[in-house]
Amino acid sequence: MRHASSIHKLASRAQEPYVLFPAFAVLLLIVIWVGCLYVIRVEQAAAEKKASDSAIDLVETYEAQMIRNLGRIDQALGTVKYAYETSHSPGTLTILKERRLLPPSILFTIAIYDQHGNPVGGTSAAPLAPISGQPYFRNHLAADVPGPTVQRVNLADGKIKLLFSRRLNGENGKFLGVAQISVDPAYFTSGYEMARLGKRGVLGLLDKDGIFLVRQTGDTVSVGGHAHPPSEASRLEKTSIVLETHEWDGEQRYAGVRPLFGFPLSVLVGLSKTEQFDEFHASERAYFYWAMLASFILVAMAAILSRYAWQLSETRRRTRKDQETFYAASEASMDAMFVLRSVFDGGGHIVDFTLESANNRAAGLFRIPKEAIIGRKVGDMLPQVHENGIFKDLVDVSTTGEAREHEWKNDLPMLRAAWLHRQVVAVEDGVIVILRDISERKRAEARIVHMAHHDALTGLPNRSLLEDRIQQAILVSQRSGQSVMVAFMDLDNFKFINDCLGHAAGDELLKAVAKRIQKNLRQTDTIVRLGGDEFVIVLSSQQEHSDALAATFSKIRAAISEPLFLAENKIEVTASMGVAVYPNDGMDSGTLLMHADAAMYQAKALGRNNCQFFTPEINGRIREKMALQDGLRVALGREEFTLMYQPQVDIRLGRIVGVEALIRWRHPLRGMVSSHDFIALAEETGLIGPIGEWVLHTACRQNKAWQDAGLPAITIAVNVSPRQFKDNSLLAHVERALKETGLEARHLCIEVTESMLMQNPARAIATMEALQAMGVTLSIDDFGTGYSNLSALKSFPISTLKIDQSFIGGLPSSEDDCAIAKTIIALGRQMNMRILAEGIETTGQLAFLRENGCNEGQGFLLCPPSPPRRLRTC
Amino acid sequence: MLMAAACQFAMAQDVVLVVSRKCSVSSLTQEQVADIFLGKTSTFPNGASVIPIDQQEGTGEREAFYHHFIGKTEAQVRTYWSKIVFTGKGYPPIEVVPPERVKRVIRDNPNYIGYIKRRDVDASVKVVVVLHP
Repeated sequence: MRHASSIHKLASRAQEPYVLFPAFAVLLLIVIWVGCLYVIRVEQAAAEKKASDSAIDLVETYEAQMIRNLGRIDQALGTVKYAYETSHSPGTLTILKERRLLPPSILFTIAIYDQHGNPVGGTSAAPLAPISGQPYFRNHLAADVPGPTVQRVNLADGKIKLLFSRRLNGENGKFLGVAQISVDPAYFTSGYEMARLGKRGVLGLLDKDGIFLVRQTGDTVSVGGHAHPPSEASRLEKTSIVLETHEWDGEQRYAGVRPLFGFPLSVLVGLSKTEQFDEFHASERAYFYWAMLASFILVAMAAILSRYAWQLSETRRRTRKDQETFYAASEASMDAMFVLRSVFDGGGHIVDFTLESANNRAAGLFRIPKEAIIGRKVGDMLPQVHENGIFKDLVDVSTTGEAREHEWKNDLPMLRAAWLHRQVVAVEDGVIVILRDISERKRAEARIVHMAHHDALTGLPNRSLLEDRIQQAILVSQRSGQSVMVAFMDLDNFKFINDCLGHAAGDELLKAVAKRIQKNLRQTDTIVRLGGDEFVIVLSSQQEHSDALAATFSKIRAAISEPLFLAENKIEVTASMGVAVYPNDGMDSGTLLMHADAAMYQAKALGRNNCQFFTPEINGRIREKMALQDGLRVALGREEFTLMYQPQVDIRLGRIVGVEALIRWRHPLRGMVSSHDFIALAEETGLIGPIGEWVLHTACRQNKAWQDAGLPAITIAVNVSPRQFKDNSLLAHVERALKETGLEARHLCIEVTESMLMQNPARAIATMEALQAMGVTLSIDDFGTGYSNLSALKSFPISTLKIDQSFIGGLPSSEDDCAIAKTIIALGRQMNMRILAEGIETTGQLAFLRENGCNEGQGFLLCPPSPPRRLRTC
Repeated sequence: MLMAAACQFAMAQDVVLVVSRKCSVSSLTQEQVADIFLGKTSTFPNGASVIPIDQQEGTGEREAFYHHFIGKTEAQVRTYWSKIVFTGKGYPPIEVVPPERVKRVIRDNPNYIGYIKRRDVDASVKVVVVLHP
């Protein structure tokens, strides 16, 4: 399969112009060169043939000329012979010459000699020498040959002549003498035409032995040289041309020889191959040159065209790739993409748009197949675009070129979406519109806004809407001249419930409370959950009568305090509420909230489960509290705290067995502030930590100081607050205090309240065991006031039980108190704990306790809390 | 002026061209003379046929004539005629011997043209003025 496809790919690649051009060029190149070589071949053959044909032509022409000339010579000789034999007159030649029967004297010298070889007469002016010694004379003398004889003679003056002679006969054939015609041998080659024979051709006359009687090449006439004489038989045959090298000058020639009829002579004509082929060679060179030029041009053109074609192909490929990429991108896009082409009227204005293409998502928006919308006009499909400004938008983008985007609530019935976002971008001749269905986003946004403004758990508006609602209520009430009530509500002991029953139960409680309150509110009222267990209720358009107001809130409180059933637990919640009224207690939401909050604090301070209306005094009280808090913060640094020590006495022996350290605060303005007031505040603010640490330190140091001063060693008892007890760093503080002061651990006792232990027994045990491990002793303070789990009590590592002073106060008159006291004492004795009675103020109490086995006690009767100096005396 | 030059030319030479008194030609250009004696034309400029007469080779008149009027040496003339006669394309002028006969021959035939020594010119012949180009 792969083979086929790769072949297919190759084939299609091969059909590309940039492959075809070079291929075609190569083909043409081959054609050109093959053609060139072929033509050259042909021309060469033609040149050869031409040379050959020319040679034939020239040989035959020369043959004819020679024949004619020789004939004339022969004729003339014959005439002379006849005339002289007839007349025996020495003036024969003169007469013949006058009669124009002789060849021109300028060329031919004609002479007659007698039988002795002496000249009889001649046509030239020059004197004639006897020829008796000449071989030809002797030959003629010897024999009478029929035709003329030819020979070469060298004259006395060095000139060479060709001599034609005949024997003259008298009566009875008696030798009468010789008649001769002599001519310059060059005469016979004077027909040499450079134009036809060239400079290196040859024209020659051969004797019967093949020796040149005369030979001309170019301008040079020479004698001698050998050529192969033709056979007699060849006279009647076609001339044959032979390419041969001539030995007399080494030239290669196309040569032909022909024998001359009637004479022992032959003619030879040769054409120099080099010369004949000059033209051919020039032509050959020209062909090569043109072929090379053509090749070069072809290659160059092919290269250029091929390159263009390749570029074009690349561009096409890139364009196709871009298109594919765009198509893929647009199909993959989450948005609907439309390509619109402008439709112009006659005046060049855009009147409509044609939908040229759309991606699948676009068709999805329309809920009809792509094919149904492609090619249609926008104005036809969505006529509303002209009214809602969309069409104008499209036209503007198309003309100005600047992109635009817009979100709008969909008003085009053809498109199925609630909210749409469009982006319009200009392209050539139109626009691209990208549509996104943002309905979901809009819904999510609305949800988020809602979530931002509403509490997740209860669905009530949250803090962020609070101010707004109050403002709105104020505005409404302004108009109607009525009041607005802002109430801060805090669920009492919500924390306790959350801790006891778990957070899920706590959430259910909040939801239930919210619902109950809402039931009691009107449309114009608002309830806001601030967080935790805090709510704010805004009641608008209220009458000013405080009765009516109070009634409203009572209703609400009643609704809240109705028992709830959570996971089979019956819960009763109460709330502390603080109310501020517009316009009396504030003109703006900030003031109203602040005052309502203050009122709520007051409500809490007053014991919870009540509703307080804001009064200016509350403010004062709050302010005071704030001031106290501020004072407390700096009190430690200013050393405003002191410790008082109340001795714990063995009431039988009347001996001090320990002291309890009690903190006092000397406020710069208020004077002594009792621990009851500021300890709670310290707990609230968390200042209890450093204060507690200071107390530990100071107490340990004091005890050590007493020991160092030589006083008998006693235990010092330090109270810890619930917060301290829960804190992980309590152990570290104790350890550090002991280490730094040097007090032995057994001389330190930590007092915890019953309720502290019961909150988290397991944890309490762990802490107490750790303290015990250090060597510190522990006692339970205010025993009897909390909800003790007696079995848990077993496991607390306690050394002392301190009976709360509320039980001591009633002794010995109150029977219940007596019973309780006795019980506690018995319990303690049974469990091997020391019992200490708190707050002994009368002797009767003291006596009772003593009688019933309570060994220790502390109180004003015995010794009030005192500064360290005073104790020495005690 | 041309006439003067021509006359001057003619007078400088030893030989002059002569024709019969019956001949109408009285002047020829040198070129025309050359054409006639080299066989290139067989007519006078006026169309009448012309037959040139040569003197014998070796005579001073011949040498002077060919030197002055044709501008060739004897050898050159021979070479010229050699090719023409060989190829059968022409025939040299008739030779008339001796020089005295030339006048007689020319006198009788209006077609002849020849050359004689200037001093031999008499009333029987007419001198042809040769115009030097």
